[in-house]
Amino acid sequence: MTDSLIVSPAASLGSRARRHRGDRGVGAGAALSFLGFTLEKEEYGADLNLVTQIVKPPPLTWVPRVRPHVLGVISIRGAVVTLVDLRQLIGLAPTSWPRTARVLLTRHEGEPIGLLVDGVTHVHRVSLEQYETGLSLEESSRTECVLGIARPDPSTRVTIVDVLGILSELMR
Amino acid sequence: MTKSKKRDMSKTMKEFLSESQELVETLSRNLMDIDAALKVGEPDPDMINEVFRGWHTLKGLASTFGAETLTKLAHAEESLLDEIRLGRVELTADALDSLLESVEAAIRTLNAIDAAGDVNAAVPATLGSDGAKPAAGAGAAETKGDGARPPQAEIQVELREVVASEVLEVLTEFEEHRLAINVQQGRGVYRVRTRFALQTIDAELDAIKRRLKPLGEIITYLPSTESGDPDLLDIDVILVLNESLAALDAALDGIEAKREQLVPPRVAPRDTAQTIQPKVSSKAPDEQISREPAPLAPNIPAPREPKEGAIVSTRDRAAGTSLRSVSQSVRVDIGKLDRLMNAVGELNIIRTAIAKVSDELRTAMGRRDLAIELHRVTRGFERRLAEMREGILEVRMVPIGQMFDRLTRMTRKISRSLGKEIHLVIAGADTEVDKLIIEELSDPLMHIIRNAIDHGVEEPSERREAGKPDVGTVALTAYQKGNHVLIEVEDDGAGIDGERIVAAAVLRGFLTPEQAGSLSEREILNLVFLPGVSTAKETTELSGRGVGMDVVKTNISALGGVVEVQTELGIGTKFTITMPVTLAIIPALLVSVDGDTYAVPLNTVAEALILSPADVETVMGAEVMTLRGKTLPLCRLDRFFGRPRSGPLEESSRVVVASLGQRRLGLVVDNLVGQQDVVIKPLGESLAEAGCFAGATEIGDQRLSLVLDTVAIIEEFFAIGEEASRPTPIPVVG
Repeated sequence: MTDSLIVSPAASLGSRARRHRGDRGVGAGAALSFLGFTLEKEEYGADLNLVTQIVKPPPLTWVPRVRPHVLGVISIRGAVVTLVDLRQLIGLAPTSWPRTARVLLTRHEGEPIGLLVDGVTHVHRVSLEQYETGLSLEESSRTECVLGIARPDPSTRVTIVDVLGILSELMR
Repeated sequence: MTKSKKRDMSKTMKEFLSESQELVETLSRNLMDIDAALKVGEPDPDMINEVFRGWHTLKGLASTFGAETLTKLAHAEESLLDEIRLGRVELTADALDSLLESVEAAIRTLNAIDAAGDVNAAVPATLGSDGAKPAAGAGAAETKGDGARPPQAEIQVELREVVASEVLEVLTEFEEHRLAINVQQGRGVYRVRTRFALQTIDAELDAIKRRLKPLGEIITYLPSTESGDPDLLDIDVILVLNESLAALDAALDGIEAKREQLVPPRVAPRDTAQTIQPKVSSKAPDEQISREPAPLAPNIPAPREPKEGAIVSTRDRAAGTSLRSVSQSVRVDIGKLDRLMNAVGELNIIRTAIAKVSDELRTAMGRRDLAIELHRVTRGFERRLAEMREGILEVRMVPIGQMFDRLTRMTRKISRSLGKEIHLVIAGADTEVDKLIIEELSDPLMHIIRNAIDHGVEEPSERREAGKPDVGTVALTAYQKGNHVLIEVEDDGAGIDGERIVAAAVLRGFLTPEQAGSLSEREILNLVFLPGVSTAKETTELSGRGVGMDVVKTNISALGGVVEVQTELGIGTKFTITMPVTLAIIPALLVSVDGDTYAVPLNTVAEALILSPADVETVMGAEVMTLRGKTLPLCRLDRFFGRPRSGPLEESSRVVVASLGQRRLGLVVDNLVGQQDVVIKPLGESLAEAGCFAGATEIGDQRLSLVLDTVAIIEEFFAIGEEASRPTPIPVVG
């Protein structure tokens, strides 16, 4: 990896984050918090502030005539939540979900959305030095879904997913 | 502005808006009452006074909140009404136009404030008016008299001759004016002196008012402290008596009151005006100033003496009590009701769970007594829950008359701007409809009425030729029919010319000339709901640009309603809107398709039948069945949902006959599950593309069931059918 790939993390995250509603003004040395989750045994992360709740998948109701990445609707505390297959959204093939599967609840333009993941690991707090952005992967066509890579420790690599970006692109 | 600050403000802002809105609605109603009274004669001065006071209150409210545009408007209106009630400005139909226009302006201003969350929000200009129309008012009204002789002066002179100056000098200008008018008409004026304990004065004053009001006009209440007792207050009621003295005595029976004649009644001669000898008034310069048409001059009766100040406050208090006694209602944000309704929905789910446990317990061994007790308690819970739900639903229901008020105002405006006189007949104003529906329905109804007046009702000359009365009639009727509310707008105009509509539809490319020839009458009329097809001969400012009716239809369909049109050339047109009574809870038929349960709103279900495969026929490849001699197109829901199962229909299939207006479609399902009232919850925007669901509902086991949007399904089904049948020509076998 060359230096040119690593843009100033603060600036880059800031500019991406500004697309989200809350630009929390990431300053130098500030810690970033991500919720780690798994898809196909690989660990990913999402901005912790975007996830309001983590629940076990409740009974799912299939909705006809919608795009394949929309799995259906579920009921969370009386609200109708659209359940989205995050796996398909970031370009992985759909499979049946494991026992450990969880729904990450978030909102997109006021609409409650549930993201189905294979499992939840834990919250990662990383400093800006441990967060690299501006990544371009050769083969993957879905780099636009990736905000950056967090390395909480030298042996762990967490791919940070641009949740809001993905949702606004694909819900359109 | 920080977020929290904005939230704080929005709370007081909401109160301000709701209070102002209430005032404006009352103003509008009062003005319409005056309009009605004006048509048959002289409106009651109290009515005008009421409007004057309404604007005055609104002005106070608006200035407290710093809403400058509204304050200015209210101020101008208050001044104008003051002129009117003092008889300086004549209350003509034109003046009333201007007064009503100001009410509209106030509504626009409030809407703008609401939208922007800022009391000084810019008011968007609308067609034919310039924004909030600040300081309009007297411009449109004409100042009475020709300027040579101030009418006020004549009256003044007369009054001084007949009324004791001690009384006159404490009267406000308005009271003096009313007194003068009455004296001029030869009525007797009396002073009724009563004594009240200070503590109970509000109630007692009210009682006196109720007794005296029917007998004539109460000019004022004058307090005096002659009794010398600090706990007692003497009040003089200055009363113009229309009835006999005996009636007055009867009314005062049982009250400690003394009456005294101030002006003796005369038999009012027809030429009263001539008996008053106009003398040159010593107050002439004063009169000249006040006669200037200066709408902005604040003409609130200012206290001229401390004594008068006391009167005003007493009166205000009396008015306050009467207000308190009539207003028994609370304004509630509909969002709060939605939350309550959601809570009831949750309770309902818990109830189902309890019932399930109770049933299991009964079949389990031991403690059967407890299981039965639990069952009994659950049933009681169920009943209370149903009561509660009905209660909340009832609160959501408001009389449709609220909206009719707005429509009446608009009808008057349109008819005057078009120069067509319209008689609006309203029936069923007390029909109750879900508040949400009322909000959503007012725009579509406005469109329909506008259309009816603009190109339904003909010009007076044309009407005369057709043997109709000059005044056109538009009837607005609402009534309940089962779970639906029907709203009809009927005019006695020229009717819709089918040929012209077909021509317009062909012109816009909706139809080929060949297709046009084969349309049924109903199909032709339905063309008016296509975008760009207008029924108007020519475009006017108000309507006829072809936008409207398609929007009307879309809006009404979105609420689960249907709009239909009937017309007869030369006789008139009738639009009928059919709406569900409420949106929150609807009775639904539960059906299963491919293992999933769906809810079909019962209001769209005509009947449900067992479908045997032998009944199914095909017409041009499309499946139909014959139901009581009529062809019923069939729609297999599994195919419609994009998950077709192979093979013929199963023996156990059912068909749910959905009807929408005149159209019927048989929805083929696997089974009927039951009937249940369901709470519809909206689906997210991301599921809109499915296009055939009105929402989702929880049926009991935490799993959601989708609620079918029958209207959309029927429309899509027939649209696809038409498209499919168009390009494939029927092979002619010869």
